[in-house]
Amino acid sequence: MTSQPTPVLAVAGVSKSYAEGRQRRAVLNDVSFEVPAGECVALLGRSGSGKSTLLNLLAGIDKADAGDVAIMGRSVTAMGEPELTLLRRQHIGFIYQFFNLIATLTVAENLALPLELNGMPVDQRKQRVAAMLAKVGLDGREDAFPDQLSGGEQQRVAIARAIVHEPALVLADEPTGNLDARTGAVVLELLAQLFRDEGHTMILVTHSREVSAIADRILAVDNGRLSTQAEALSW
Amino acid sequence: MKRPVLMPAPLTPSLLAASRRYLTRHRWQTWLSIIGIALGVAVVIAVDLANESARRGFRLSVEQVTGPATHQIEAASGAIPDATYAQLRIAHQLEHAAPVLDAPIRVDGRSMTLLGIDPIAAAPMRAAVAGAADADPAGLVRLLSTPDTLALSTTDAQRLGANVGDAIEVEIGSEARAMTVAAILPEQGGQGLAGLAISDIATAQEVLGRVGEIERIDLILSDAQAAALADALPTGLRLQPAAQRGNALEQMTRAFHTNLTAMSLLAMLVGGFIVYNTMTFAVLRRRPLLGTLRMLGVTRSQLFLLVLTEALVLALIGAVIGMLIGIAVGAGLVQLVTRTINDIYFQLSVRNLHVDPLSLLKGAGLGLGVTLLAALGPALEAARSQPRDVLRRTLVEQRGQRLLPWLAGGGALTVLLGILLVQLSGRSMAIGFVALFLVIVGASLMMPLVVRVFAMATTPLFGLLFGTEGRLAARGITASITRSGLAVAALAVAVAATVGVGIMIGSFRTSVSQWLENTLTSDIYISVPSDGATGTGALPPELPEQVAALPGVAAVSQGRGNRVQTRDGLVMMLALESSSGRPRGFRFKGATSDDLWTRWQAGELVLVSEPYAYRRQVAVGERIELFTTSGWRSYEIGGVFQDYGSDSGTLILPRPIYAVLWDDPGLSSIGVVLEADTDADAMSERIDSLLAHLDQPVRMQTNRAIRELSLEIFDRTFTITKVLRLLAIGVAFVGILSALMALELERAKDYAVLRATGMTRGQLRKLILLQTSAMGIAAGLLAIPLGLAMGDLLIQVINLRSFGWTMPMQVTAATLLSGVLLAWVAAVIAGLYPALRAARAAPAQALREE
Repeated sequence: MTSQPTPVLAVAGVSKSYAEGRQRRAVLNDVSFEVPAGECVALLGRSGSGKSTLLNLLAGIDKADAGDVAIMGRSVTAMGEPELTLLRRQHIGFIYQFFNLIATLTVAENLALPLELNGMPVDQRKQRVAAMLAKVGLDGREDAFPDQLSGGEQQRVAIARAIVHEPALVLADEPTGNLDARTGAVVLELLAQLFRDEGHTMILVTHSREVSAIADRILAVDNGRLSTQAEALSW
Repeated sequence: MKRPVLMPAPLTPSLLAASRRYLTRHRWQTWLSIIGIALGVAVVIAVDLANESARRGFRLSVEQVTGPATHQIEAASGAIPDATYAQLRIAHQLEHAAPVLDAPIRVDGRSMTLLGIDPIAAAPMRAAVAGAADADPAGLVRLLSTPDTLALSTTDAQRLGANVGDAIEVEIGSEARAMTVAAILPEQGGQGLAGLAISDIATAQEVLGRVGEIERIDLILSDAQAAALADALPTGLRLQPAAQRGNALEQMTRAFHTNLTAMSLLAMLVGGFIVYNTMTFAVLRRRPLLGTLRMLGVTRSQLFLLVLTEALVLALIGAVIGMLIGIAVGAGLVQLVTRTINDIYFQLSVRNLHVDPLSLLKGAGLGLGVTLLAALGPALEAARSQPRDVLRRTLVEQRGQRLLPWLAGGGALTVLLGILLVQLSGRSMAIGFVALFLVIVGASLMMPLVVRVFAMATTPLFGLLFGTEGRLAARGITASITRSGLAVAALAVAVAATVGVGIMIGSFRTSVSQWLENTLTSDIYISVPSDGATGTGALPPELPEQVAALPGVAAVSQGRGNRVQTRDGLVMMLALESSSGRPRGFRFKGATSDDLWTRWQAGELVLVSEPYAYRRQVAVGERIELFTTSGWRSYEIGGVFQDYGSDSGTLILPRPIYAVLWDDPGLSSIGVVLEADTDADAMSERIDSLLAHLDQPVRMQTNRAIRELSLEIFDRTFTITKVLRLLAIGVAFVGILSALMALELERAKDYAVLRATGMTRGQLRKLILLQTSAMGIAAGLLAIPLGLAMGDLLIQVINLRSFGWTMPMQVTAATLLSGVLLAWVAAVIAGLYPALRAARAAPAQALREE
């Protein structure tokens, strides 16, 4: 008997609700799915559909009311704060809608930060940062500060920072949501290419079907439930 | 499965770089914070240096005057006849014994000590004298044989430009006298001779009007010799260790030094508020960034360490600058401290500021400690950052708002703890100060909630009075209450301190003024100039009769002031006698003994001043022992009288009793009561012509002149308090400027939106200034109850425990209104720059994401 490889992400029966006055509003209801290594999954949904809540649960920055989230076979739900910090540091990369670069660090320093936190020696760090900058087309801009970059450039730095330490899972929250259509398309193409080339596992949260098109699989989030790709495309 | 352990991680270079650049990018706030710390450190160091220099100057002068003597013989009356010295020396074969008579003098406007010694007897005991005798035997001969001669140190001779043979003018009391420089003494190592004018003892006796008597005998004795001599001394003389005299005098100024230190700590406390403010702003501003860092895997302890490191850097720079400012301010402050000690305690000359490295370290260490303590809260807040904060920006303010009631509750408990400490701490001055600080800190914790209520309540009023800008201004305070509340609290504490200290000084001054009016019952006073420490000199015994015989004089009272020995050390004794019967002008605290004046005049009772009763914890009916010429005698306390003249205590006995028991028939002062229709000025002239015939210096003052002079000295005494209060306000101003700057800069984007929506530059300026005005007024109003509480604590706890004085609290509307005005003006001035800056800023630039 051959054992199945452990999925990078396994979500099993996750539910989440928030208090609204005296009542509780269900945001996620019995959500389950798995993501094997190297797959890019898009969570597609309208505003308020629960996709951001799901992303928070996947990152371990919010706790589910029921169910379990496991990353690389380890239950995030059961982890304490130090373990979660270590998990994020070593195995997860984040890409945000508003870039969230460290304003007081240069481009190179922003990229070097996850490597520093993981204790990589200076020489290797420099090489890795230079290589990553070249990949996202920002070589020569290493000494620039974020506020000297355009929105598209900032998001490219954010993408590079998310994968520079080769995480097992990348979580991207509306990565083109804060960019104009043209720049967004360029960034999206870069993102798709990087993930194809490097074989990262990614969860892409978006409300845009165009963006979700780069994913290997699309899961639609609607009223706190997951539906299949076909159903998602119908709304 | 083995759980992964996250080891405490050090700060990485990138984290440190991010931090450093944040501080340099917000240099205005960074520098204001540094200035706040620097000023706090500077005030603490300046006061400590001034205090230490005064103490050192005092110890030095005691050492100079005492020399290497181990013991001293003193008389109950304050004077030992020459003959007694000779008898003692022979009878007890005292090898190292030297007679001494010293007194404060002024030469060329500076205080010095005239030290009358027997150079031959003193030579084996004082190396300086022996050295001078060897170096300049002719000088020694001149000193011994020529009247009105003295020897100066090389330093003083150079300062005065005096050479051997030159005459210099010496002020002794109110009399000026020309004395000739007989010798110039080479400087010795160690304590040196600067500040001393050494004369032969016969010369000193003559110029001080104390012919035939000495003040004390300096001795070098072994413990066994001392024990034997103490038992063998005739009644009325006592042997005491040489250090005891200095210690007793030094004790007198302890409360004064402590109070100055407390004032300086207040400035440091306000400095701590600034740091707290700055670091809190820094953390709150960077909350999304901290969330991002947490998402990237930065640990809580790393964020905690990061904020503390930032604070440490600010503190180090602030401490270095503070040390430099502290030394400069200390040089000015030491003069004020010395002047106050001269005014109310004893003659003291401090030539230079002694920069003690320990004082610098103490101040800098305190600055670092307060800064780190103040940064602890923000650091913990940073460590509490959740990765989700990056996604929800309004969360911080919401959480802060939810915390306000808890904060206020904690503040109320802290205030209660302070009040409880006051009740339980007995007489401890240190705990009194701790209680005061607890009340301040507790009240400031309650302020943000009160400010929110104030802003919410006044929003409609602001809207009505100032339109949209007014409404927006008031709402802006509520919307960012976690920050605006802090700024208001910092300003309110500083203003409350000025209100509280103002109330204390005002109440004190009113009480002193009323006390003077009540105590000074005579119209004219005649007295011998005194150094305030000893009852040197005496008026001619026939003078009271001569004055009483003048037409228009209704009554004459006589007084003698001298320090007498009690079991607890030296205390001022005032011996009174009035031609009209019992002395007048006493206001007693509590009950007195039955038949008080009859028993007092019979010598059965002693009256003690309020500070004496408080310090020695004695009450009416209890007994105290006094050292008289016939040995120790016990007296019952007949009454405790109000007295603001001395914080070390005063005893009062009838003069005839005192004169016999202390063998001191001398007279220090005469009070003249005029008949109702007698003109005081005309009488002064008549008495003046009577005094003109005397061959000794005598001072005559009218009742009004004494009152004016006393209040002048009072005001001078509090000059240093006022200076420190100003410095505390300076620190607070920096604080409010820093807080408002941070607040307004943080709102740059909101303002840009308002500008983009159509608000004019003028309207924006108006909005910001209205907002800072509202915060200033809120701070001023909050400062009133806190100021009143501080004033009450200063009067009922600190003043009482420091000096033993009680007084009713006097509050004037002007004091309270000036506090509100001060807060408002400080806030408006602090809001000017942010208002101008916000109005000038291009909306597009401010709207850019940082």
